Amino acid sequence: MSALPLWLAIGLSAVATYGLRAAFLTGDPSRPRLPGWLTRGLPFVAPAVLAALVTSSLAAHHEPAVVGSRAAALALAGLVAWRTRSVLATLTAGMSAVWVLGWLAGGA
Amino acid sequence: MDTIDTIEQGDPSWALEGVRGVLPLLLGVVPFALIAGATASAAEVPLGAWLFMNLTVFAGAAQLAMVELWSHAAPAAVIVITAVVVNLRFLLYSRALAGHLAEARGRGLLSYLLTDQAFAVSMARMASAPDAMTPSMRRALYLGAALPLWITWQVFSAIGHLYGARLPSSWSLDFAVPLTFVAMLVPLLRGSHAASWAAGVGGLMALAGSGMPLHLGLLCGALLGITAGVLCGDAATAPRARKEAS
Repeated sequence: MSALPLWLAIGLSAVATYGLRAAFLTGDPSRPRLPGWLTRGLPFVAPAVLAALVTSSLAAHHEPAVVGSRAAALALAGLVAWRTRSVLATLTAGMSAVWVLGWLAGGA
Repeated sequence: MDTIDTIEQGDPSWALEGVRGVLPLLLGVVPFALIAGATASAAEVPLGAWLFMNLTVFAGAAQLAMVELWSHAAPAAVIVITAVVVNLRFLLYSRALAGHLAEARGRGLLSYLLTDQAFAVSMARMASAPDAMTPSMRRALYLGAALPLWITWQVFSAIGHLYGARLPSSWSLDFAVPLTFVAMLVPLLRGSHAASWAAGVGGLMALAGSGMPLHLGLLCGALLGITAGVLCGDAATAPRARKEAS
């Protein structure tokens, strides 16, 4: 794809993203503006999207050893996140796990 | 009695409180930003376009998804729609914050700076003491959290693009990205079975759909996950309400 469609895609995404951020913050805060079905679905957008992003990252790899070790590291990180509520601990646990497992698997 | 002097002296200390709250989160943002920039560079996104994205879109998860889609020659429409879906959570943040920031000055700028971290840090403090803060104090708190994050992102994602190629791939630093998503995801699952269903279904379906044409797997997975959450949500709230009523 040449550069122009990329800049166009960025520009449109930027406008849309700003629209999402400013939707309720600017303008009349008391006026309800969302249809009911959107309101019901909104709380689940973040969990669904974040989970989809996590698993999509796994799909980018093809060697079973890499996929396996990363999946295990993600599971461990999830557990650590649940127990410690710490972003730092989660990152440390996950990165350590992927390094150790990668080394065990022969440096994948 | 509160005087105007007291209120105006309060703002800087609330701004500092925002900075204190966001500081630990910045530790996760730095590798995330470096990797995002390095990924963009590896995907041959020009530096100018990347800087443009950083300044105008200013959303790490969406930017990464956009870069990956672009590197696989996805159509522009898919890129834009994916960015919108990934960023839909900002609508929720906007609504939650609107009640607290309704009278703050410069809400256009406040909107632009909205991120997961700015939301989490300011929301926690404003929700716990809603009457203790004037609009000006809340604005100071929010900016204290939001501005350091903006600066960190702009600086390190640019550095990542410029120098990321030098980071050895054997370090698996790109793994910091899904790890950050995990760290963001887990708190959302507390106390909500429906959210867990949304995440479980969304994650599985996105994985299953990863071979789909036009890279629609992510979007479809997310939509299915949202649907699962809505379906479970109605079932989950009713028994809880009954329990609380008895």
